[in-house]
Order: sequence, then structure tokens, then C-alpha cells
Amino acid sequence: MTASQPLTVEFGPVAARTVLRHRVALASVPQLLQEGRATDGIRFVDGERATWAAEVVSAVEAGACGVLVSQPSCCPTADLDKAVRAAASSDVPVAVALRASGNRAFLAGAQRTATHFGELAIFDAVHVIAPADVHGAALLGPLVDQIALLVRMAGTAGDLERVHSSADGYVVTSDVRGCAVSMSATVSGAGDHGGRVDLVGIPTRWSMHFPDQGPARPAEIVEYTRDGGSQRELIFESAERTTWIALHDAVRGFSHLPLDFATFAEYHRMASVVLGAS
Amino acid sequence: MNRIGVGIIGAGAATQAIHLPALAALGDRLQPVHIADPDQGVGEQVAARVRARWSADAQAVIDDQAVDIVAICSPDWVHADQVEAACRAGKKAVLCEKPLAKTEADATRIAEASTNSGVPVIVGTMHRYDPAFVAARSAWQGFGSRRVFVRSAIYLPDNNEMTSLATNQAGSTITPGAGPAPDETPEATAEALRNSVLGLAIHNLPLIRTLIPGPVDVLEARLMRPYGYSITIGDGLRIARLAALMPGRWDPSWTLEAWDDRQHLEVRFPPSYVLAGSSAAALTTQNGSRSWRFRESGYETQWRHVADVAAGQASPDVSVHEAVADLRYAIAIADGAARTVLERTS
Repeated sequence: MTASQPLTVEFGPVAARTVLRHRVALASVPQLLQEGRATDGIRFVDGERATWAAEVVSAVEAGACGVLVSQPSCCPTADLDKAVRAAASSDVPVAVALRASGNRAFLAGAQRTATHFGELAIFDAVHVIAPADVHGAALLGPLVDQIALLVRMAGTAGDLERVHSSADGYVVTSDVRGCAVSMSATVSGAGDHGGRVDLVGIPTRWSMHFPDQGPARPAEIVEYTRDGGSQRELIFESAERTTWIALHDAVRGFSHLPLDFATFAEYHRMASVVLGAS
Repeated sequence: MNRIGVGIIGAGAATQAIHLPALAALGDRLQPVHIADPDQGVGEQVAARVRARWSADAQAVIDDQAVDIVAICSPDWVHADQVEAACRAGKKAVLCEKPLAKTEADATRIAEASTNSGVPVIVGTMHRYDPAFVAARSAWQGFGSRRVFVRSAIYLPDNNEMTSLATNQAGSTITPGAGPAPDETPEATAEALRNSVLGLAIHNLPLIRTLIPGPVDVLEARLMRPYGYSITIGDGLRIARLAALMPGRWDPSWTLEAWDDRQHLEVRFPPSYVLAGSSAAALTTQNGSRSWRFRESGYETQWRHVADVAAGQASPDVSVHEAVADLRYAIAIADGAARTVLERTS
């Protein structure tokens, strides 16, 4: 493999609907990545499969230079720990596509929001899930993303408490430095699917919307102050494309992943525990 | 056409910023004729603006034969006595500001007074009458029969910013009751949370009740300082998240959203006090979206309805018994939220 050639991406066993968005994303970065067969290339792992953590280990042990896990579902803690150790010991970047916390527009302004987090009173996040996306990871995925978003700004998620949980949704709360945190999700066949977050303090509030209506529909992030509203750049790029590029750059050594696999695994564990899924 | 005489008890911010402008908008049908307020300086000034009589005593408004409709905009703890008096006087209609009462006993007295006298009593809940909300809500398929998730978010600037745009206020300005200082007792925190539910959440709770009829449990509750709350209520299948904070130094945002298996309702209300037209409401199903927005605000629509009721042209859209049920719902949530605070600190 040379820096001038695209990296090869090999898909393992996957569900057709899972892989479609990723194939679309790969088609948009032909100079960086291309689908093919190569044990030392990047391996795509379908996180909806119960064996996904073991498949990460297998890919790393087989010599993959990077791994992308799509929509990781619940898995035994021991398997997840093993996958994290395998990736760390081989120094193989493992990326997970998270729609909100991995969004480029969000990440570009996250530091500014973090600076103001101490002034916030309310962090209210809700994720609306399309029925077609309801599967084993339907509720876990949004909560992991919400936790990652919160920690990116607050540095911690606090002590998570489950207020409500069913097959169709959840409400999880915590307290972070006096800010009332609520993270919730619901399943609906109508409306804008995706995530919304209100961050509200007296001097500043943010309204964040991460729509899921089309892969490349941009996040709408608006900061409101006494001077009015200011919208962050609209970036028409899917979470999948953002993640593939980040993984490519991590494999090439250009940059680090915005969310390393060990940290993701920690959020995954937190979400599993609070939803009673582990 | 003879205009219907309106008497107003209480000349504070709601009267000056909401009711008098709304009555001016409906000036062809309604005419303020008598205003009562114990503060002579304020009462006289406000009454003079609309060429109405002023009295210090509320009973003088009720006894005034030119008053067909009594609007009760006084502190909530005297609502029951004043509604009873207006009903005894056989007025054509009573509009009582929210909350109708602070106790179930007072609410029951009001309902009985209305029923026994036949005088319609309508509660001042502008969002219940907001024409865009009403249209979208009536298009919502199924009433309280399925799993529903509701999100109510009220983020507002200082009330005085809005009242100053709606009137040149006579008398003292209004500031919502500030939350207790961090070292205050759990009991004080619980009471402040109860007041914030009955002072602010109560705007949306009658709307939420149409989606989650209750009884509901308070699953978690927090008081927000300076004024607000973060509360989750539910009945097992249906959940509502309620969040509010004020006074912020940013543009207002007042939304109500609801999702069920196949519908999404989104309502964006204008802030209180200003006559900024109706909300912007949209109902989305798997077949697409419909949206509504009207020139008339909930305040004006409600007053138009009160005029129709007083003229015998309509029955109350929301009966006094329904209004009392709305209040019981709100009191149960306020009490439940307060209890949650006390249990957490015990």
C-alpha cells in the first residue's frame, strides 16, 4: 500500500440495509478508499451481528490496518474488552460512525460549547428512531451517541439514571455540574428522524438538530445570545463519509480518530448498563 | 351593534399587555367598561386609557350592570371567591386567568358556581385556543389511545422584555418567582418547583393532557434557577418531557412536540404577551406534512369565543368541568414534582 493508492475496504458478512449507506459513502471518496479484498486493508464489521466484537478481533489478528464498525449492538463486556485490547496492542484504529457526536460541524464548535458548559442549566437530548431502524441496537446506538456528545462538551456524563425504558424508547437523566441532563429516544414512523439537543443557560443557548432524513443532510446548530442566533456552517456530508475519511486519515497517520475505540467501548458499556441491556 | 361590556378585576401586566390589546383588536364587539384594582394609581391610569370606570373594589365591577363579561386577572388565591360572586350576579360569561385555582377545593367551588348559576366560566389558556394548534390537534389521529412521546420546551427571556413591547406598563413590572438560593431548605425548593409548574408549565399541560390523559406519575423532577424545571411524567406507555428556563438573554423558544407510531406534531408558539399571530403548527405523517398558521393569536381567538358565548352564539369549547380536570392534572404534577424533590433529599 502506498500513500498515493486508495486503501482497500473489505466488507465482512453484513445486512444489505446496513451496508448501503457505507457503499454510498465509499463511492464519494474514490481517491481515498475503494472496495476490494485485502487482509491488510480496512475491514467493515456489521455491528448488528451479535459476534461483531469477535469479528473486530479476527480482523485485527488477520492484519487489517483499520476497522469500521457500523451500529454496534449489545455484546458481552468480555468480548468488547478483548476487542479493545486487540486493537490497542496492534495499534489498529477502530472507528464507529456516530451521527451527532462525530458530526464535523458539531466537533468544530464543541470546544466553544464546552467552555460555556458550566453556565448551562439544561441539556435535553431526544432521538427519534425510524421503525425501519429498530433492531437490537436501536436504542443503544442513540444513547451512546448522546453520551459521547455530552462528554465531548461536559467532560463527563455524570451518574446516569434510567427514568423510563421500553422497547420503543427511554429517558435517562443525570446531573453534570448542576446541569440537568436528559437523554431520551422514541420510535416514530413520522417526522424528522435523528437527534435534537437543547443546551440552555441564561447567557447562551444552543439548538442542535442532527436530521437523519438523507445521509448528507447537514446538522443545524444554532447558538443564541443577546445578539441573536448564529448558525454553524452547514456541512452536507453523511456521518458515514465523515467517519470513513477520519479512519483513512488515522490509518495513514495524518490524524487521530475523534473518538477512539476504548472510549467508545466505555460509552457503550455505560449505555448498556443504564438500559439494562448488559 | 351594541358592544358587550367587559369588566376586568386586576389591572396588572396580564390586563395591560394581553387583555386590553386583545380587546382593542375585537373592539367592534367588546368594550372594557370597568376596571378594578386596589392600587388607585395603577387602576385609574389603566382604566383611563380605555375610557373605563375604575374601582378599588372588585365587587363594584361585578355589581356594574354595564358589565356583561367579568375577566378575573387577580391573584389566583382570590379567583374562587370572585368567580362565585360573578356567577351569583348572573353575568353572561366569566373569563378567569390561569391557574383557575391553586387547590382542588377552590376549583370544585368554581365548577359548582358555574353549574348552579348557568354562567359559563372560561379559563384564560391562550394555547388551548391557538387556532393553529387546534387545527393540527384535530388532525391528529387517535386521542390518547397509543404510545406517545411528548416534548415541551419553554425557553423565554425576561417577561418585562415582552410586556414592554405590548404596553407602556403602569405600576410595578413582573418577575417570576426566583428559585431558592442553594442553601435554602428542600421544602422551599419543592414549593418553588410546585409554583413553577402552576405558573409556567400550566400553559402547555392542558395541551399535553389531550395527548396523555392521565393519571400520570412524575418520574423525575428538578427545579431550574432562576425559574424553570426539568420534569418527566408518564403513564407507563406515554411519556412527556417538560423543560423550561427563564429569564434568558436570547430569543424566545416555546415548542410542543409529540410523536406516536405514525405521526409527529410540532407546534412553535410565539412568546406570551405579544399579539404575534398564532403558533406555527405542523402535523407530519408517513404521507407527508400539513401546516397551519393564522393571523389571529390564541388571546384574540379566546376573546372572540368568550364574546360568542356571552352573546349566546356558542357553548364553551372547553367546559368548566374540563378546565377543572385540566387543573387537577396540573396540580397532581406540581405536587408530584414537589414530592420528588423532598424524597430525593430525605
